[in-house]
Amino acid sequence: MIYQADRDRAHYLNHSAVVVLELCDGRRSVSDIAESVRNVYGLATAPRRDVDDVLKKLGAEGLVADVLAPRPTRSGALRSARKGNG
Amino acid sequence: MAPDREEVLKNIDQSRRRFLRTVIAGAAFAPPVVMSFSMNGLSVDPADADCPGPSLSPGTSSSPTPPRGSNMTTQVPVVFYLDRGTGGNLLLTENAPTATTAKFTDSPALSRSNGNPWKPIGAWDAISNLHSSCPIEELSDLHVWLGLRNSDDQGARFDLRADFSVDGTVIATGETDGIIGLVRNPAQAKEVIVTFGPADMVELTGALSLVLSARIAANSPHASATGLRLYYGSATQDSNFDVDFQ
Repeated sequence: MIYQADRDRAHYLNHSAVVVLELCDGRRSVSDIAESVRNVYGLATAPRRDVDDVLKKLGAEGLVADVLAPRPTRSGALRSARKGNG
Repeated sequence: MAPDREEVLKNIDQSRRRFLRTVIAGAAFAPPVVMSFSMNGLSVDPADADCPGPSLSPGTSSSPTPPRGSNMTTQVPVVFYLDRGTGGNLLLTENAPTATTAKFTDSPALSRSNGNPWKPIGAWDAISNLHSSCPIEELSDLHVWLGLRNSDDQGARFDLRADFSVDGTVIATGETDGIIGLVRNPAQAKEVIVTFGPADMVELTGALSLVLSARIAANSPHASATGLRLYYGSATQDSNFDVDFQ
């Protein structure tokens, strides 16, 4: 659970969403994150679409920043701004 | 395809690694889900709101239903790193160090004479009162990097003790005895782990403090030493421990 005091909103994340959030360190691209999720769960392919979707949701809720225009290069890597207590 | 979690985890900030390892333990992949809801109608104790795992309690009106299967209370470890302020004060910070060169604090000279007393290396105090209203659930192992003040003491063995206190009351103590293999070269500082004994988890809240002390080990071939050198505050020698708050 994450609670944003400034917005008085709570967010429940399942374990794979927590993994995605934790991987938003400002250095990894969306592709990097999807690949890491693949490794964590031993998937045959990287769940790129799932990761895209959850990043949009996290971005819309203000839990991460700059997720809507990711680029696969290091210079375009995600810049995350984690908020709340999670 | 077998999961390769450790490969991923090793690239995660250390402060989050333990938490993430717990989250994914034994879990099979499920599409990521984020469910968000307004807290209107739910109550948060202001004292808990500053804790890592806020305790939420359902309201009585038309409050949103918490997601099924969710835990309304979570314990998230907070990593405290040993550091030193610009004024020389020793402090505990939640900011992971990024410096390439470690800071250090020395113990006084150690000697087995006069009862081989513990000699204080230093007292690190939490600089933030962010968690001062949060009772402590659990303490993790303390990781510190140790070396020698003087290379002449190579071969000596040492005991290291950690006392963790809340609001001036020691609630947990850990001790690692017979530490061997310490050298003067900072680059070869040795990581030493101190496991805290069972903490007295009374509902104490307040300022957090960690006191480290050293003495000559009972099985040391040297009866005295110039002292221990404790390294901290760099990315590679990031002496730290976790605290789980209730």
